[in-house]
Amino acid sequence: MSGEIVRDIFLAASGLLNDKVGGPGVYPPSPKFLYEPPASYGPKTWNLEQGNDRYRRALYTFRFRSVPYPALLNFDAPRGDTACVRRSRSNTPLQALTTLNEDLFMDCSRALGLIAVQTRDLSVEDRIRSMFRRCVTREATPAEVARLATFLNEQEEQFSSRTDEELRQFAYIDPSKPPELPAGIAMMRLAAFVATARVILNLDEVIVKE
Amino acid sequence: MSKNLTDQCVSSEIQRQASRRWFLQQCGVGLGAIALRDLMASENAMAADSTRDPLAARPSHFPARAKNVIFLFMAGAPSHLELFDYKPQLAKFDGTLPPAELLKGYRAAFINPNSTLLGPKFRFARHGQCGAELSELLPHLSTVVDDIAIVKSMVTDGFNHAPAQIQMSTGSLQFGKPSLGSWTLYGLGNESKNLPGFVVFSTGKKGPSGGSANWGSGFLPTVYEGVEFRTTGDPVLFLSNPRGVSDSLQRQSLDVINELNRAHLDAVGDPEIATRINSFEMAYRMQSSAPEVMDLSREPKHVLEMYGVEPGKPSFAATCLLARRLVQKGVRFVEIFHEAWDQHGAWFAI
Repeated sequence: MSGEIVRDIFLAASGLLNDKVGGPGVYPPSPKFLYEPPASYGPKTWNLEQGNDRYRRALYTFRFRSVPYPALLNFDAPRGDTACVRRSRSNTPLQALTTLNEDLFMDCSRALGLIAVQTRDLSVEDRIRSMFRRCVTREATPAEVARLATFLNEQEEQFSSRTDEELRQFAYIDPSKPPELPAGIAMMRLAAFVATARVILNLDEVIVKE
Repeated sequence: MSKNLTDQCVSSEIQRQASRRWFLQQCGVGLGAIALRDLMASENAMAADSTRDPLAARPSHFPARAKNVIFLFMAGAPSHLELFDYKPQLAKFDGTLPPAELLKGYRAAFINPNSTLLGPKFRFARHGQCGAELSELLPHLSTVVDDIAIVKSMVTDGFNHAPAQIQMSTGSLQFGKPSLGSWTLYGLGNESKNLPGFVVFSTGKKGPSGGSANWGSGFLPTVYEGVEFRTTGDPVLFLSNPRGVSDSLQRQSLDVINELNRAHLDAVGDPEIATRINSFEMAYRMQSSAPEVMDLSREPKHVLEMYGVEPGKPSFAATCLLARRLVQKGVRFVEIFHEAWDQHGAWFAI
């Protein structure tokens, strides 16, 4: 998939996607140093979106000709300085770093984990199946569900030794504005689902069309 | 007579086949297919041994002393006519209009045919045992001239920045062909398990006008593409874990991701999935090895002075030292792409 679609898949699967159509470009999170010399010719304005305009489709990402948006560039989005007849397709460690570590991709894992714990009266396995289906658009095999459930339980166990503040930093998009958790859901349970959502979103099948 | 005719037919058939083979191999179809077949063949092996690495180091076909390449691509660059390439005739005709017979039928996009000729503006002298002519602008290079090779036989039909760069990097004016570094990595593999085999630094004021096609893998599998390192901020973007993600969580997450991807690879057999698994593993290893290798404060003082580097201050020299550190770690090919050398009329500001 091309870079914009990779981003949109993450946003759509995690329920963050703002599907508003049209209007001027938006400024999703981006490393600040890119817009200051020496990385850039001169200082550039990057008015980071505070609301959910940062979750607009990647198509609306504002792009400078001289400073391509890095998360999309890593997925072969062309620079603005030459005509592009056909996009190349790559598969690099930088893409892995992007979907694992970049801010907005990480927010998608946080949002998907939260969705998974919000539905009432479901088993852990059913919640995993639901996340899997949202991301991969097929049913998970029993082996896949079992592996992910083991991972989730291990993580919940490990999160139990971390402080609440550490868990908030990990699991919330904005730790200063924690969302309300359903009754009976502890922070470490949410965190374990966020970690599992991150694993599922990073599967090859999510961003590659066979 | 008739036998001769048959022989001729056979021989022309052989020629036809040979040229057809040449066409397939040399014109992009063949090599890409060979690379793919190589990956597909190993895919059966992968079912048994899913850790097969397309970047594994391979012996060279010919004995070679060089093990790594540092390629300084100084885009634009000061004119060869003022550095390495003394033209006595040009000195003689300095300031005159070009002879009419030289311009007959000459067409140029940017150059006014009524411009006068410009002779060398700096003094040249012969240096070393080889007697290479260098200009006075290169006092240091002239002391080591017997240790370097100056190639004066290069010509190009690409005279504008972007296509000429791509021709230099890939041998073709149009993108789609593998770059020098990609071919090197494809042929010889990588000796480092923690760093990419083909690292690119884009220094100077901006990136190359030819874009990242300069280090692209073209029709070769994408694992052979150059990986861009930055000298400001994180060496590689998104290198640090997101907030709240510990190293053990990162490692355990990758274990599950790779395990599930491997099961999918066994089911569908797309070699790109093997590449993806490889990418995630390398991404993880890069997270610890890249900051370490980029830390110039670990270099002894005499090396810093030799390069003229101040740690923490980005410079072309600092990037050259980084390139040296990377090849010491086994990185096969490092390319420094410096886009700010273009001179045009700025010569006389020196």
